[in-house]
Amino acid sequence: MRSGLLRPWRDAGVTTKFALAFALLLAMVLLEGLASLLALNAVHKAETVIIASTEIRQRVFEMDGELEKARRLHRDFFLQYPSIGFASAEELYFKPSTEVINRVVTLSEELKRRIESAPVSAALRERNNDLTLYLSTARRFADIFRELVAQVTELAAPGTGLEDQLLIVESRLEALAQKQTATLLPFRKMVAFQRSYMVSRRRPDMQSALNAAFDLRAAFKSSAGTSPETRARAGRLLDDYARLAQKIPDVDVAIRSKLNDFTLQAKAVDPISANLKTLATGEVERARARIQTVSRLSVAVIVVTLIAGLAFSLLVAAVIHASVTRKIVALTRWAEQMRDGTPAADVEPDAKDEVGVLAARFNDMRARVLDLVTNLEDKVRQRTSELTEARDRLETLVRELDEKNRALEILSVTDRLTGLANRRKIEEAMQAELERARRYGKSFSVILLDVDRFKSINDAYGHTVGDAVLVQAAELLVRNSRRTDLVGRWGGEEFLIVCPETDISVVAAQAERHRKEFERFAFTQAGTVTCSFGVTACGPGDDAQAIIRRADAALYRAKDKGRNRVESQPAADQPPQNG
Amino acid sequence: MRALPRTAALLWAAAMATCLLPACSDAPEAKPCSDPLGCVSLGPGEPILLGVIESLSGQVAPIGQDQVRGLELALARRGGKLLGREVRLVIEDTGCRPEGGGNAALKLIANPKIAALFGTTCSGDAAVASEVMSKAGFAMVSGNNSAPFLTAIGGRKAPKWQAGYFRTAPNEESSGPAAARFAYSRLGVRRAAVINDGDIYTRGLTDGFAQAFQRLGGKIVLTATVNKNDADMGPVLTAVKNSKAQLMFFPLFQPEGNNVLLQARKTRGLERIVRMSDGALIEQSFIEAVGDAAVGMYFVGPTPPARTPALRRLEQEYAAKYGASPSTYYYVNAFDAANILLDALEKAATAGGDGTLRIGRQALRDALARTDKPDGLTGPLRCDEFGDCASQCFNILRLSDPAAGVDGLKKNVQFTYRPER
Repeated sequence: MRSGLLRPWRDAGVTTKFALAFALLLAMVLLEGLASLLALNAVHKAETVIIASTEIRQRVFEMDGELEKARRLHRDFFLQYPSIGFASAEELYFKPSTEVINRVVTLSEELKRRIESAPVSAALRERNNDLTLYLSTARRFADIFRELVAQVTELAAPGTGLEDQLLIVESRLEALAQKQTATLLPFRKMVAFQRSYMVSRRRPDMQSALNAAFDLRAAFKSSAGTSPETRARAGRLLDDYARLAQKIPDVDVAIRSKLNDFTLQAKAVDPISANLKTLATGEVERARARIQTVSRLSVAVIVVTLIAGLAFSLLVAAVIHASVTRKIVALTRWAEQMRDGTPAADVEPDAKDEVGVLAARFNDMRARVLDLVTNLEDKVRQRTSELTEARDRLETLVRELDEKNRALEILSVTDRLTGLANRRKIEEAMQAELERARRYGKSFSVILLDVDRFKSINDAYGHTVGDAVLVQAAELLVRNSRRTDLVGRWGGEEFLIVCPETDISVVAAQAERHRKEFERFAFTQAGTVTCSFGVTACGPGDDAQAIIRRADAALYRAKDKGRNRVESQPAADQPPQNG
Repeated sequence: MRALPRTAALLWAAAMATCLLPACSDAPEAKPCSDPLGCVSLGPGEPILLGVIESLSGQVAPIGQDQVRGLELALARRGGKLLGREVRLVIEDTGCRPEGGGNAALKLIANPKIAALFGTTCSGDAAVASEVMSKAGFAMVSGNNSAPFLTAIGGRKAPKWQAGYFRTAPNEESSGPAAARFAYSRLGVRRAAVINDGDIYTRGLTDGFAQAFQRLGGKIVLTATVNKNDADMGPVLTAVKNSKAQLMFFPLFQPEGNNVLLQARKTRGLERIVRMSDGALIEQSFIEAVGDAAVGMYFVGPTPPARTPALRRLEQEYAAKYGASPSTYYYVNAFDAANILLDALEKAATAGGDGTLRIGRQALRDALARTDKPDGLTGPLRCDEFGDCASQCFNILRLSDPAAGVDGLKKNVQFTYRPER
């Protein structure tokens, strides 16, 4: 399920993602707007209800006030007519009350219409039946009031009312009755009961008055002193009295019934207006409460949507971050790594969106760069190793060359066969000794020797043996010479020894030691080989050639003298020495 | 390309539906109430409301209560339903006063959902209530009013007659004459005193008695009135005594009737006077209240319904429902009254197509006027042009043994009077 949702999201383009995110954000904003709109609408409705209900309540108050006014007028009528007279009371109270009632009727009709059309609750609308009752009761109030006034008029209108008529009859009867005690007594009784009735309004009192009137009639009949005319007149008056005395309680009952009617009307109507007021007030309160609830609710909705919107924005940001920015940052980092070196791994393409495509391109690029970098190193390493190799080879060559040069150098002053100083070296040494002798006055001597009969050795044993004799001879010479002496091969089987700071006699002795060593030494194959020696010393003004000549001359003499001998040839100013 | 015709078809259908809808929904409304007096319109499931105006307080309360019970029994027979709807009673008390009747009726007619009125107990209340309800176009049926003023006197419209008023209690127009005939012919009385309480019911009775008695040759020596709730009957009884009446006809209610009787027994000179009252005192409570003082007293009252099996069944239902035996049989008149009203409502009602129910007010009056129910429990019921639906038949009863109670009284029939209709 999750992957089912994630996949299309991952595959969607960045534009689509942004579009979706912003569309959802827009939806949140719209939702908030809708919530506010609904709340506003509810508040508006509640306001209408409040206005309607307030108006209804106002009308009920007006209507009630008017009815109360009518009742006051009605009460005042009955309170005032005895003192101000009937006509004035009618003018002052009855007529205005009719107008007031008409207003009540108009008001209640209007109220009824208003309630029917107002946006109020069913409970209040159902009260319209009550208003119908209110209306008809108001009308009835007017009717009953009118009837009541008529009855009160019938009863109490001055001069013409039943009560006044009764008083008139009473006074006429009094005139007749007071003539005799027999008639006066029942008359007074009658009047007393009648007065009593006027106060108590209890019918038995009036009945008692009627009974007294009956007695009075009898008294008139039985009274001897009453003329027949008087008797007849009293009879007529008593008939009138009976008629009136019976009628008055009837009218009183009717009046009481009307008054009771008012009480019942009030009982029916008062709760209606009270109820209407309560309902209208309740309606207003409910509407207010509704407004409050709606306001609270809408605030809550707005806050919730705000929070949700914020959370959603964060979520969108997170999602966008996760699916776009993070990847771009990763790509950037990757690119930095690329700049600084080679990134460790490929960028995760992760999606098929633009970033994914970019990542894929980056990966291609990395592969390419990686390839390039890797090859370069290999080449450098290869070149380096090649160079190292060349350098090593060169070094070897140089070393070899040095060795060869050194060998060459050695070779140039050394006799190849014997390893002794060669002729050039000997000449250089003699030259150096000559220089020293000239500068410091030091003398030096030379020994020139030649292997005796060397030709016969070569001939007898071959050149190899001959060479070996030469080599061994050289070794003998070096071994028996002083360290400071220079032993060299002068050429062929001739050797020359330069002995610095020696005079001829020392050299002759030295030559003698060499000669004897030779004599004692057994050469390989050749056996005993002897040598002839010519020695000389450097004299003043000598040069090398001169010295060699003298040595050679000495040698020559040794040869002559039989070989294996030492002959010296001193310089010209020096006596020759024999060994 | 395929989507276009479909969209067009949808639009067309929507347009057609829009055109048809008002036509459909208006179909039942197309026939507005054509009743000249208007209609009671009840929505689906709305109960049928019946306004009940009876005297449910004071001495008359038991009679008023029996009226309500008669109605309840009739409804119970129908499972509490009419035309498939629940019937709900809206009950108002009149206190047996005309102004109480007037104001109760005002209260009920204010509710346009009330289909009809049932009541009243006292005729005085009915006179005012019926005027109020008639003006409002209602119909009212009573099972107890018997004052002739309410319907007809001598075959002519009575002063308090109102269109839409019907009753199953017999017009007591003949009650007074029945008593007068009995008094004059059987008892040989020639001088009679009548006492009413000023109410049109009692006044109707005393007037009826007086006229018939005088017509027979008798003399009304006293016409007196007492007020409701008067306790001191001494003066009026003195007047009776003074009048030298042989018979005292006092069709009063309790407690005035009780007071007159009890005080008359103590009044010297009235020991031998014949005492006669009417149905209002044919009550167990009266007999218990006055005891032996009532021995020898006569009562004129409607002939009780015949004790048919149907009546016995109703009695059983009464006892089962209220756990007591009925004290009078007036609940049977109420039961009959309720039935003719319920039958008429069924006839007058028309069903709207949308589950509404409409009852034409004139249609209801007409249906009531056409009532012809031979099987009424109080006898055949056929309403005449004045609203009288029961036939008149009166018995004169004599209380011989207070211990036998009201049942004993009812059985002790001295005279039966059945005038021609």
